[in-house]
Amino acid sequence: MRDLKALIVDDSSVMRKIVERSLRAAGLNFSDVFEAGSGVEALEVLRGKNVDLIFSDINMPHMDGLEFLRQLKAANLAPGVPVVMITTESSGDHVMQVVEAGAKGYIRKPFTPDQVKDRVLPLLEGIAG
Amino acid sequence: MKLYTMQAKPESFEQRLDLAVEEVFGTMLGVSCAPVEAVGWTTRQETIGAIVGMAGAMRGSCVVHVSRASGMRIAELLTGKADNDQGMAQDALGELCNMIAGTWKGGIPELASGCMLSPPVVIEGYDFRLHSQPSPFHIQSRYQFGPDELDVTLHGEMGKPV
Repeated sequence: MRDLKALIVDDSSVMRKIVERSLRAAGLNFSDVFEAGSGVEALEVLRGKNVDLIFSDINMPHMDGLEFLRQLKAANLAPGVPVVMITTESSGDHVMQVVEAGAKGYIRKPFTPDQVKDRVLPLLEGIAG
Repeated sequence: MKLYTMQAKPESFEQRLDLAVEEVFGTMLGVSCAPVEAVGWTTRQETIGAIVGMAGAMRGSCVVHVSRASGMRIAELLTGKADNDQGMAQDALGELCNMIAGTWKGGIPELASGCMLSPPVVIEGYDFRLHSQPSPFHIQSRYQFGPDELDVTLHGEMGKPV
């Protein structure tokens, strides 16, 4: 399996650590995990680095996760890289909104490492080979 | 203005809050957290409070309030690291408040998609108190995890779903 890289976008440094810790606990060992504290910072990171998977919070100040998705698409940064949204919002309407914006997965907080694994593994098939 | 009315009974909101706190602590912190009788802070101590605003089907806020020591413990349990600084405790409490508010409203069908949450705001200091306009809906509960305690307050009124 080739080295995989991930980007975690969240205004909370605690939540970025939790996501990284959950990935490790789930046995998903990324060779590099980059962090961004906002959508703006994430776009900047992606201009200089290639990643295989992006995790993003939705409810962030300055640029929320949905706007980040739109700008990611508009700037054609990280084409084909799956984005998994992480949020406390879990209604059907909200999930639809996220999928329509281009996200490939959705993790509701609070979450267990196994739930992260269940959502992430299918997205890595075909990438990690 | 006509306010949005819900089928869910406010009495069940308190039970939902207990379940939400239990779920968040059990899943993300790996410890149990149960309601206890509130008897007031026993000593004057530094505290941290996190506030998440609610808009839409319910207008109000969720407030989580802990001692500084308990805030540090929450950060330690969330991150798995004991060497967190004060900023990390504030950040952790904001996230905790966000998850409790989100899990609470997610369990009430009328609020799940009709009520939006704001990013958390954190306040710290000695002996601070929050004052708000009297609201028709008010819940204040105390919980214990290990030797630590936290207060959770939900208050507001029914609004219009977003």
